[in-house]
Amino acid sequence: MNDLSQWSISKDSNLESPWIEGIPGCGIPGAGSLVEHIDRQILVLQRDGRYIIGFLRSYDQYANLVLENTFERFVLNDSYCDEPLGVFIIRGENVALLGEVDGEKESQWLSRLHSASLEETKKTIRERRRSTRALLHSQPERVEWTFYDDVFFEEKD
Amino acid sequence: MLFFSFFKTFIGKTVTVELKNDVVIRGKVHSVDQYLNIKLEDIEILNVETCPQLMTLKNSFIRGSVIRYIQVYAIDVDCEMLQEATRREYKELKKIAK
Repeated sequence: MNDLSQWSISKDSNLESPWIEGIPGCGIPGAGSLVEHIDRQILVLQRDGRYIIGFLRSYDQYANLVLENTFERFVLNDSYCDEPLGVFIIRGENVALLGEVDGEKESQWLSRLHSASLEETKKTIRERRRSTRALLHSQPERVEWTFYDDVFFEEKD
Repeated sequence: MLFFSFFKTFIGKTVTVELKNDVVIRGKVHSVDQYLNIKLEDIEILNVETCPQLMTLKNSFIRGSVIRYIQVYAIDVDCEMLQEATRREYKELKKIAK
């Protein structure tokens, strides 16, 4: 194992760095500081843009997550709906961002939206995703070059 | 390891992080780990209209692999020191390789 403090810039230059020592989660290998989120309701933004909400039960250094009472939240313009998913394991590589939900802010925000039917919302969102995916995977337009052959050859009568 | 140490010097400072999915988050760095995952506190989403759900978060853990840029205040970085540390790290690595 490498000694993590070995390369510390501040240490090498004899600067005091009291804020580094004693900060919880700082320097613990892997996704160290997620321990504070255990048993809390967290929102996970996945790499594909989906939002999963659930209670964090376990995690590891890759940010693989186990969530309980999970649901996916769909938001469309000014309506939202939740789809329950039960216990959910998310492979770490798909996690973009996660954070603790602030209950007050959440209810304030949700009160401005109205809940919609799951089927309708899912259908619209799926269609929208499909069209963006098509856009992403479509070949970029090729630049057309015009070669003027006649520049190099003398025109023949 | 140098970048880990470098990132640790931002703890307590305000940074702006742009993710590969174009979300831009500003917040105070709470902690960093060896994968350069970053935990931010008191976050603010700068392009909230694209991801209104993130408005409801208090703090956020960002996986290092999805980060595109980190913008920091120039006053928080001692580039001279960093440059020296980079040279030193290179020398150390060369020593180990021998």
